[in-house]
Amino acid sequence: MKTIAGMNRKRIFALDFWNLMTFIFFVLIAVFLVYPLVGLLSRSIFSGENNSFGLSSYLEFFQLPYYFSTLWHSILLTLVSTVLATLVGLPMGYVVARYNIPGKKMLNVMVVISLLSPPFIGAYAWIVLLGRSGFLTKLIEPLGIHLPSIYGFGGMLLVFTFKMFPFIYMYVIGALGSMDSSLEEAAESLGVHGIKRLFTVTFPLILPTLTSGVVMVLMTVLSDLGTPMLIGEGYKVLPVLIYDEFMSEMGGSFAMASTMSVIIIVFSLTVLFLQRKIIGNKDYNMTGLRPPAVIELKPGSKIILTTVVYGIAVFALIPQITTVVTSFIKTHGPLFVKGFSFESYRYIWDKMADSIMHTFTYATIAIIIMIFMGILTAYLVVRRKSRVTALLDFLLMSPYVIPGSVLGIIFIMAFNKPPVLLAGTATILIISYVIRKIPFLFRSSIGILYQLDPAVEEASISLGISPVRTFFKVTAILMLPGVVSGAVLSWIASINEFSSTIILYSGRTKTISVAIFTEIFKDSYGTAAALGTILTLAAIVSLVIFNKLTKGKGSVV
Amino acid sequence: MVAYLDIVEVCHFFAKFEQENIMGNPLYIEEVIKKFGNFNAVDGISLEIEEGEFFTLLGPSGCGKTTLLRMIAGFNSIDDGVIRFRDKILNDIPAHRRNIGMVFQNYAIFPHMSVFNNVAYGLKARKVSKEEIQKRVNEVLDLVQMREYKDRQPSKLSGGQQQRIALARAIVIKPDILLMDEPLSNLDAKLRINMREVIKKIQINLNITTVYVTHDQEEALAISDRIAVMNGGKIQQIGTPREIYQNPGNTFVADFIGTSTFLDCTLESKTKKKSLLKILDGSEVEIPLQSEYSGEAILAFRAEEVTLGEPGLKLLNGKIVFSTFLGGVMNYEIMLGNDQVVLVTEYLKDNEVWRNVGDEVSLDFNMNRINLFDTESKDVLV
Repeated sequence: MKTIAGMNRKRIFALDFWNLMTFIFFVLIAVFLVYPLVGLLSRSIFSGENNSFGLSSYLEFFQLPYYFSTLWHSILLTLVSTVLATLVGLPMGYVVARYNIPGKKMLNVMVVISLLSPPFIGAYAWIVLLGRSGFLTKLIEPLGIHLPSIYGFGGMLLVFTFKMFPFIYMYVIGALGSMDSSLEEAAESLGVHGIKRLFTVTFPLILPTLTSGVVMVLMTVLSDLGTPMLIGEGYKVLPVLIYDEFMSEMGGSFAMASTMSVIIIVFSLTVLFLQRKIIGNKDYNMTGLRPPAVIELKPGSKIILTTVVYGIAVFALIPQITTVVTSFIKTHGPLFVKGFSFESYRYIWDKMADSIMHTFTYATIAIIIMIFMGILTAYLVVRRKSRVTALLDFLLMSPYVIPGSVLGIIFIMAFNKPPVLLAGTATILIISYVIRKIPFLFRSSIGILYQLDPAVEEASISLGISPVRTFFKVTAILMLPGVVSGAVLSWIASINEFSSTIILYSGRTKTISVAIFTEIFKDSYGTAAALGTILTLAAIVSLVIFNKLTKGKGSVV
Repeated sequence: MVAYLDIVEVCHFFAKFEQENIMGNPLYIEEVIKKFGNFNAVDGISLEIEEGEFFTLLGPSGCGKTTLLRMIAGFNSIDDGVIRFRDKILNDIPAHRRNIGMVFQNYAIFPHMSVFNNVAYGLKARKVSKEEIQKRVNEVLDLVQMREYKDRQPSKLSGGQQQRIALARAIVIKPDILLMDEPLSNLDAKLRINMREVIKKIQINLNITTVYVTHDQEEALAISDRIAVMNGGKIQQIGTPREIYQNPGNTFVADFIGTSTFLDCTLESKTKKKSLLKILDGSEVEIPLQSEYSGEAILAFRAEEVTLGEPGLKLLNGKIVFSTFLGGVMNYEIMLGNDQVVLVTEYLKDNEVWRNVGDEVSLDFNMNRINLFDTESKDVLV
């Protein structure tokens, strides 16, 4: 009998399919994530003479106002933008979810479209409208009205608030929709109603979901490179400074760029840690058997609230509308002139078809890799729980706190020499997309796997299908809806990717987002708008296809 | 809907099934242990299950019954001990090679396959020819009366229909053993009784060795050839439903199955045949014991073995403190002089008297049906 127990123990370490997969994933993560990160850390702390150990670049960072003020700028911008986005998104989500606002579906579509493009498209659009030679600026200048400058802190707040509140809005709508009405009814029956009920029952219940949305907004604002580059001007933030330090041909310092990268990662980690602290283990998994009823508004308040929410949604759509409209306006050099034309599109078709090809090719390859990795790793983490797979979970989620520009830098530094010479190739872009965008897909795969009853897999096994074949015949297929909803997000994020691409691209691997950026800097607003329109259109088409595939049952965000 | 089985169809299926089922060696479980950390979920259990037997593992939640079933299925490893079937040690055979059919609590129907494909799934894995699959799936769907649903998607089926499909899927592969893990617990009361009969009839007709897990004692009594009552990872008693009900091996079994009252008492043995049972001060009866015993003991009797009468007429006196009307029967709680409570079931057809809370009554119980346990080992003394 002892021997049988012994045999069982031995089999745990046998090389089965899943152990092999775990091993492969760890090797990949070690090469493409841990190794570059370790390189980054070591560059930041071996900044003394001849690369000896020294914390001089950290000292420099915290002593020189030029550097230190940037950190302060980043923190301030991130916090204020997030607070504003929440102040817009939370009440709007609540109102739309709970009251009889007409045309909710349309409203949601408007909000989703407004978040489909990269943030710097928003910056671009506001420059076109309110910049030094913007449409509106020109329009009202003769009247003697001078609007506050769109450049700097205020402009960035405008861009981020209206770019980011849709995330909060979608999370709030989702959380409120899955809340069981009996909880609020219980509060009512105990004599708690109105505002008090809102703050003692409703908000605490959606808080875990809300904070996930808030953290997502924080991370996006903190790490965004495109918006501050376009519209930030004198108001320097960390990602811009990191980019400058790294790319500048003279006077830049790899050590300083590395140090600032480490600081921004530490800051992101702190935010994430705080969120976990606040939320703790609170995961109110509500099935929402009976969602709360929609409350009928009095005609007066209905008109006011409807006007406000539609006003916000339309305002958030201004960048998209501006982009689409300007893409069809005739241009003369950098100037827009009267009349409509397809000139901009003809131009990009002739000159930038390869950028468009690159964008969709790389994102497609990346998404296929992500789907495979996401399904397999989610299975390992959920169904084969151990310390090893918990570490895998942690490592796969860690790119969430690495800003794109930092990932770009550590990739360049790690893979610009043999044995792994990848700098300037398409491969390095694809790998960076996979690493940076897989958290969405990974999380949604894990989510759906938790909903699948393990007994279904056991049923297949007991009917004679080996565990590995069961995984492919049953589990993977049943996971697909969740995987696809994550994949849509990862795909849209990949075609929009800018922060790491701007560092990793070369002449042969330019993508749309980089092309938009360089066009804006060349003052070719028309072509930039046409490229932006293509990105938005691609994102909308992906969502429509997704909805068709899942017959409207799938949900993104 | 009353389950009606087409006898001709069943016999047809049954005959073929029998040919392939080699009669003889049973399922042996020897001293098996399952550890979760330091906790022994299954703590040295030994069982022998006969070919064609309907064997039930019965116990409260957390008693280890499902763990043991999953060890037989191959989903839980066996930390110590041996499970054998027909002289074949199952311990190291992976679940998918054991040829065991399993029916799960929440059905575990493949949601992405039609009813037909669900049932055909195991046959395809066995490389059965297409025509044969058609034939066997149709037969087994007839058996569970689900043939007309064969092109349906599972999401369009009710719980009871899904469980029929789960059963069909498990038996169509002609498993050596059929395992069922609380298959009826998600169904409503009436459907549960209906499905219970369906399962039992199919099991008898196919003569398939079945291990069934439930926490519902009534279900276990109704469906089983033999029952193992489990608690704390150990077997408390094995026996036919009747043995377990009428002669519980210890106070746990007496308490878990049926409604029993336990009273502290003392015994004084004069000879083996004549012992004095003292219940409260004053109440004494002479009874025969299995062996001589003197000292403290526990007297157990079933609620329906008690008869009530006018105060002072019978062995014990008490007052009704609570009553429940259940249609054909009344349940009473009667408090004795020393504050101990006796549970009583009275059949209204046997009694015209309407008793109220607060009434004084006397009570008696069938001395042939009592059980006596000593306070230490809970051994049966009668």
